Amino acid sequence: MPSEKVAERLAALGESLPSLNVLEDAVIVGGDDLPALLRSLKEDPDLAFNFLTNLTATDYADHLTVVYNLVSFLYGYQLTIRCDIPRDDPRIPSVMEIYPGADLQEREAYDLVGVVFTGRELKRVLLHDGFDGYPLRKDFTWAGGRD
Amino acid sequence: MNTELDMRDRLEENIKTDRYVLNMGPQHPSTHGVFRVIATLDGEVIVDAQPVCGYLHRGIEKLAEARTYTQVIPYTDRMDYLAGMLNNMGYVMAVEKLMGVEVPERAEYIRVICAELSRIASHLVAVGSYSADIGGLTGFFYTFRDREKILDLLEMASGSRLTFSYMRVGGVADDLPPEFFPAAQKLVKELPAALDEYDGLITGNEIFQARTKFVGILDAKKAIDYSISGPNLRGSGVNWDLRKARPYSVYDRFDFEVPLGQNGDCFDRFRLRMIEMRQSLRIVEQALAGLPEGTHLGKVPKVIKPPAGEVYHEIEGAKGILGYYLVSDGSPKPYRMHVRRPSFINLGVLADLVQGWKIADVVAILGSLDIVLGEVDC
Repeated sequence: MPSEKVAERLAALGESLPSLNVLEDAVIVGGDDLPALLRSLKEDPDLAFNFLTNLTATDYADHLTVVYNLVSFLYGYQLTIRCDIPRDDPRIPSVMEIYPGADLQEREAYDLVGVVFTGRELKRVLLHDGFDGYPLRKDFTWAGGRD
Repeated sequence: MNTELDMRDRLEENIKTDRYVLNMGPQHPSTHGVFRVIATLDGEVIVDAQPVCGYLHRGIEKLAEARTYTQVIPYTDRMDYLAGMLNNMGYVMAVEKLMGVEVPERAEYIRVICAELSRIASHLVAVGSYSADIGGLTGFFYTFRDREKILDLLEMASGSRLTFSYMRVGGVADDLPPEFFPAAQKLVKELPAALDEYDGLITGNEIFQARTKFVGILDAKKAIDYSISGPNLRGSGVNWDLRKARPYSVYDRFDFEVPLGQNGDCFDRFRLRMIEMRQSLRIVEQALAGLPEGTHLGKVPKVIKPPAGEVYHEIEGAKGILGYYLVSDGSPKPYRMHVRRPSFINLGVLADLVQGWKIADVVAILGSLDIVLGEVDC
């Protein structure tokens, strides 16, 4: 739930970022506008979202959603950002330059869900390099798996 | 630090060195589990280090999708197996948030008692094995001697020594048994003396200090940029402890302090864990004194079916911010579970920290980050 200050700033940002959509519990943004949004949120002294706490992705069968959870240490604000990307072309710009802590988390989301983060070198992190498929995709099946 | 850099510069001028790759692990005691570091060295100095993990990956996030919400609880114990109660707590709280379940006050207090005991147990392993990493094996045995008493307590509560699975959606599995209370009071009374003993044995040791002070310095800005959390973040002087910053459960009712480091070096990270144990004991003492009467399990439907939606809940784990991201489609099984594991994310800064140091310092720096591979690999 964005506080008043955050909601006000997000509304202002919406003018330059056409894909921005502020919901009750999260902010929806298009992949192309994501780095600009995060940069503004981090550098705005009244928001100071300086900490990327969580980054993950979910397979919703017809699309993938990448989720970013930001925290502002200074004001205690929390913000959830969601980004829908197509399943057959799952590309989204990497945010490693803004939040270096995204490195391992992006690699994990690539490894398990198959999200391709562009603008950085991507390697699997938990599974071995020769692994076939992305296990957290809903259509992934494996021998011995439960339904 | 500066004199050491000067010395290094002089060395580089006078001695011709080669670059080579040195492999550490995955099976090596200093890596605290199955973890590998591919280090590139120039002479004796590390220029690059690539962490390789995944050797203990069990696919818990995938397994959770085929289990009911209650069946997932035992899997959480097996992530950070040194602080199982905290993993339980983060998970059940996330499910409760998703469902809007009320937890009885007594259950909240029992959770806090068990969670803080678990935190102490985890920190005891951290400082003990760190002492062993640096070369003082005795410290390891002393801390494990006292950790045993905590495991005894948690065994009384849950029946298990490591994989507790004690917490339930809506409360805890069972009330604390009568024999728990005198034993817990005894621990609260006796453990500070044991901590003094470690301070004499480990913290005050000259060799230990020489090996850890001003080694692997992590400044506050870098710590935040790299999403570092827990004692590693606070060791760099950043005051961010979720128990204080965003109090959950009943933490706002207890009087305790959040210790901070100054230099962000290995010694500060170690020292912080020592002080945090004393603060955790204070919380346990207050929670034992203020434990209200009542039931240990709230009213929860037999079949746990959270409404469709998603939730992200984080608590202060022993290693840092432990977050659970759950997506429900309204069925009795989670559609998606993701765990923000502090050990995994804290590892991100390792390559940066070890650059310019030597192999022995890699052991000191890695140990100071206090990772547990069950959690890194999930």
